[in-house]
Amino acid sequence: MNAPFYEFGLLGDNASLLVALLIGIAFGFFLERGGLGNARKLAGQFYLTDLVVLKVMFSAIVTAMLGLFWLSKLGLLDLSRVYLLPTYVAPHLIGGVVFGVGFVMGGLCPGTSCVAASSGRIDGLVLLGGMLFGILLFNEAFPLLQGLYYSTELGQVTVAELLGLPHGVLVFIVVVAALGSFVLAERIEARTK
Amino acid sequence: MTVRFTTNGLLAAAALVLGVGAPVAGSPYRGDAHRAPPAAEPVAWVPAADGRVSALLVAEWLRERKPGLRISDLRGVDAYERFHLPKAEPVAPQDLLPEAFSRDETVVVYGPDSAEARLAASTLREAGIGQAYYLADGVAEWLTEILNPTLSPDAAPEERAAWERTAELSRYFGGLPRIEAGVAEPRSAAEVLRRTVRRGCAF
Repeated sequence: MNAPFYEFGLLGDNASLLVALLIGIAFGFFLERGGLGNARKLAGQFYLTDLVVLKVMFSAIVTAMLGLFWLSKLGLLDLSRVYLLPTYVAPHLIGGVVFGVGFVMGGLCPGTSCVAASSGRIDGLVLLGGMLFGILLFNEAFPLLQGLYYSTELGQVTVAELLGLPHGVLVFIVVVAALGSFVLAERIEARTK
Repeated sequence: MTVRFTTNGLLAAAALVLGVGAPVAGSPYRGDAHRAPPAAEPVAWVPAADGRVSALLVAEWLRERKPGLRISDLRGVDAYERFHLPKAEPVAPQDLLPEAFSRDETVVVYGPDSAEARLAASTLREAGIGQAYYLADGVAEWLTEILNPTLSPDAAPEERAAWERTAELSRYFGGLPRIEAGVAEPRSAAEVLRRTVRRGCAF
């Protein structure tokens, strides 16, 4: 057995779509169960009253990172076959700022707006509509934006490669940063309650 | 004194142990064997004397993130927007000037036909861009060789050995390598494009 299963041909197209559907359902279910379909809870992140987003995101990053690292070391996963999205510095920075502003103003991000909409929240539905309109707008305006879209490409790089650090050292740094942030988050939440 | 173990505490301790072990465990990648060229390079994996490169070689360069790789699409903006090779930039033929490239860059050109791409690459080479190549059949070759490669079940052992590398590259770019009996009918370009996965994610 070797992963990624799709890359090694162990999962066909239909099976891959089915797995993606199941993972998507599980993702949405746990986001909702974790309270992340609630804009008030998410907005608490920016007011430092509820840091659940930080904890969820960092937990997910650390879990996935340690899983990928150690499964590769155990020979169960070929990390070179995991697709990396190319990095485009300027478009990603601008997109990140737009994303952040939208997140603060709307209280939801794209994934959680889908969760909120599917559980019947009006704010989630409005945000979902806005997101679809934004996608349409972007595609229509693409000829004007494509210069920026393809600018400042770094290629398929990892943070470790960019910083010239061994992958294991970066894993260690991220784990320590995550655990430190969890402790800090607990203290901040305790103070504001 | 009683020490209480909470679930969060145990998970944090496990993460810390795995994190501390990571720097001493070495690289998670399986060496560079997958990137090394085979001992006997088949023709498709090296540029031809006239500067022609195969889609397989371009795909390999893209996957290994070959430094200084530039890909120029000469077919026009409409064709480019419908589909283009990863990392390709749309360039009008008259704008493909040697000044736009540095001498240590690797330039791959493709266009509406083989002759135009060959001429463009040749012009760049004559102007001092030593590593200027052309992809003769352009997008069609990419669709056939990378996104929709096929192998006959009764292929010779050496063809099968080469196939492994092709299939691996194909899957990397979201293609569908197939082993099919008889003469494999290639899918239409539109069908291949429809089935090609645009990868990404959003939280």
